[in-house]
Amino acid sequence: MDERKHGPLMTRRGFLAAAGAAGATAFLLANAPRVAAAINNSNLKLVWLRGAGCGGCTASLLNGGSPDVLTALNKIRLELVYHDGLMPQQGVFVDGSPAGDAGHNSNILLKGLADSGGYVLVLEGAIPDGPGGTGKYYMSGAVPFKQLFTEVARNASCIVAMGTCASYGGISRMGATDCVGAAFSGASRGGATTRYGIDKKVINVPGCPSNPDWLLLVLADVLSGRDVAVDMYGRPVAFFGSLVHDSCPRRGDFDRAARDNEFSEGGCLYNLGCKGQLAYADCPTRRWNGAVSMCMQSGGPCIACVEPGFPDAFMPFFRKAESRDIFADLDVDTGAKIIVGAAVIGAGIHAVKRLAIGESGRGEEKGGKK
Amino acid sequence: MRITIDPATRLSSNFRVSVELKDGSVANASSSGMAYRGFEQMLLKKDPMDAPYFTQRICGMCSSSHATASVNAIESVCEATGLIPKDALVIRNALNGLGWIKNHVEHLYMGFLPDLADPTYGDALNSSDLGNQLWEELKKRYSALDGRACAEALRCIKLIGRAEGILGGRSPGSPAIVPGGVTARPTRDDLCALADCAEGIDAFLQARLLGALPVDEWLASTHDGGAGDFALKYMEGLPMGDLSQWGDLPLYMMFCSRMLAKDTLELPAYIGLDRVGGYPLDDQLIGFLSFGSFYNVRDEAGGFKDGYSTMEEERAGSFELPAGFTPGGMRNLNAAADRPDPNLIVEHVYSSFYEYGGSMASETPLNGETVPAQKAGDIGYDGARYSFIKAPRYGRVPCEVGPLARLVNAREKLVVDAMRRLSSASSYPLASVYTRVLARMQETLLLSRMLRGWIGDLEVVGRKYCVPVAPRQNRAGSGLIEAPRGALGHWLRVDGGGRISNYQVVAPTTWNASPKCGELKNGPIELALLGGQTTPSGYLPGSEANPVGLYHVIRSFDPCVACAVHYIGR
Repeated sequence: MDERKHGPLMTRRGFLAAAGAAGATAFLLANAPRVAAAINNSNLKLVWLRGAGCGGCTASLLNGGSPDVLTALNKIRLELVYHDGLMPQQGVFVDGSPAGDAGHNSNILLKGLADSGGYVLVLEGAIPDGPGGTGKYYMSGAVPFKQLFTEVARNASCIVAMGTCASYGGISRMGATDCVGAAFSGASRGGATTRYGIDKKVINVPGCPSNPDWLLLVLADVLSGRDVAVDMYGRPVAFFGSLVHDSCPRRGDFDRAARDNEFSEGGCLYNLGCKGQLAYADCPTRRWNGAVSMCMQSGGPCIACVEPGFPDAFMPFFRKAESRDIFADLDVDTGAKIIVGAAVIGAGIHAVKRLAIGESGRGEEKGGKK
Repeated sequence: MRITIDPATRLSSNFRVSVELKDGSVANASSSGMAYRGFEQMLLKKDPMDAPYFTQRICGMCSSSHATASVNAIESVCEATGLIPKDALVIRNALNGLGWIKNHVEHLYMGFLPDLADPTYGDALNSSDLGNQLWEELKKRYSALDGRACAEALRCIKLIGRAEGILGGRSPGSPAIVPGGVTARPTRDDLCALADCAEGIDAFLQARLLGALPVDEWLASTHDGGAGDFALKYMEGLPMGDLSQWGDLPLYMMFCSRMLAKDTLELPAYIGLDRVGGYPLDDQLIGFLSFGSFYNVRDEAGGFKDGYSTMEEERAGSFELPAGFTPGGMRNLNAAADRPDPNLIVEHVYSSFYEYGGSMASETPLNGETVPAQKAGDIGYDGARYSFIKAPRYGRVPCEVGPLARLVNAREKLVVDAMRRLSSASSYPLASVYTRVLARMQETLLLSRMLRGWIGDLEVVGRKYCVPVAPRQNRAGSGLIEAPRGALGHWLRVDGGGRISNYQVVAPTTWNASPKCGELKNGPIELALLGGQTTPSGYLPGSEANPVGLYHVIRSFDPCVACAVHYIGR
């Protein structure tokens, strides 16, 4: 790479300071020496690309976590070299030709990185293919984003998809732009790596937005060279292995059938459309923004934002999960995988449980206060 | 010579600007949002109650603003705006206020100010001791992500996220703001933790922006009364031999103004941001528009009241920050701003990759029919159409929106005073990169005071945070508020089956980054670039490859393409 006036976007120390301000976990603290030992001689770079999305996952990364991760990550060699929202460089063309060097020109910098390889790619946002397979619904640096992704993904050591758009297409997939995630399109393996013939493993860290702890821990795992165990949707089982409902702070209200029919009453949100029985994530135990709260704790129903079928499979958001409406507008594939699979494990069990505790439908509709 | 910046980075999302230089100055400029996400079909036939959660995902930075505009639109369709509990409105205010502070802090310290640490200024400032000292200070503070100010800003952003989490469960993408009120039911403990966060945010803002002077004292002397004279005296009292004692605001206010630093005080070091990014003083070419924001929950007797009235209902005092429109000539800054008429807002697609049905070149948002270009060949940079952003106009006037527009329309003392001083010297534009960013800094301090006030208002809670609402059929409604980057409008139509039949969003960046309209008038960013140069001191050899003078203009608007291109149409 060229001698850069600016130096790297963020030195390893700079990134660690940033990451430290953003998120921490006891896990990383406990494992930091092992991570550090495993990667002591590597020189990994982090390239962060943003496709069709809202920037919320970057905002989430800057937003959350506890400070202790600084101590843990400080031992990791990692250098954030490309992120269009944070880097000093920009794409500059003079009379149509790229100008300057990698110290000033982000396009030259990215090309050099893609050519040399040896970086972790974090993708935020989905990858549009339209119109007509050109990808011109999202252009950056005068080329379609799908081309940038393909070039950078080919030489990446590993790809991490941050957020539901990058993982499965998410909200971006609902538009007529032919958007997909890095490896998945919804619940099927028809993502960008399949479309463009890229033979790389993708780890999905979904969520709308994704939790910064999840990303930082996955990066630590990747850096330490460990094989991250994932579920059928490419998500690390460590974070996405249990139902939100199982550890919900308002679970007691559910079991007592103290279910609210209006917002802000303080009880179980099931009647208000909570999809915690269909969503797999450790939100209730990990919680958000420095572990201060999570959706249900502040009275917001879970909308299953970590699931491959989000958002359309879970709309209307305020309609009960077991009502038939949830099946409307679903393709058979998604419906079978998400609804039936999850329902059998989650909602189905509760349906049985309700029978067992002798709760009538009418009693449930009435709701109840603590 | 043609200079194209693509992508313009350190913004919320990718943005493209292309300028033609003639004799070293920008002769024409075009700004392009090169993303289309196809929200058009997403909300059609959906339950209107889903719109807030859905539309807040248009933008990960101002998600509370979109949620609030959306619930306002729905509550107007439910005819429920007068019923929303006061404490729900205060919580919405607090969530929005936190989002604004976060946006401004992130934009200042990770977006705009790092350009002042560009190596260009190492060369430009090295001819005097003061200049060298200034450069060292700029580099130490603002270097992208390695600067001290950036690291501190990250800690503040985290604190803001924590406060948002306490009220809203998580941030971004909080589920708290729903039609009828909010979902939260904060406890006393929550309020204590929230107040603690607000104190921490205020302490950061004081330490960074002001230095030794408390925020409330600064505002008492520059916002509530006094204004520019106090600011000048305050700066005179700071040591010229030790710039490290200067807060970011006085440092910027002094050394980024050529008029102040060079013309008035004859200092050897300055960056002339007050000469770039301005407009002609012409009522037809530019205006300043704001919709008003933050529900006013006080009644006339000073007590609290439930409910709010919308901007269209034309009730004065509905919002803590007033709605307003000021024509670009700004001839009468002594009189109050005009009250904006939402019916005058139209959108053009002359330069955008969209077709309207029929032959209409411009439409009001709720009547707009948006069909994106379907053929790849129609999407390019060189034709008459060059952006996925449409061109909203107020009447026939392109409008700047954002902190400067808000504070101009509020006739805020510090900013208007700075403009008056600039206007008394010739060759300085009233609006410029300088005043735009000064307004953002001053507004950030103002928000810190307002936030502490809202948390105090929650102390006397009535313990009611939501009322049941139901959208009426065959109705249309709108939610017009301010987001951190400026005027934000959501328009909604509900059909006979109670489903969404049309939903339109006009976001702040739609205004600021708009391309040319049917009358070939430039959008505000384009207009502000005209006459600009590659550095604030003119063309320097090699500067075309690093045209920091253009970056200042672009970033002073804090554009967000993710918001701007997300039309949700019929």
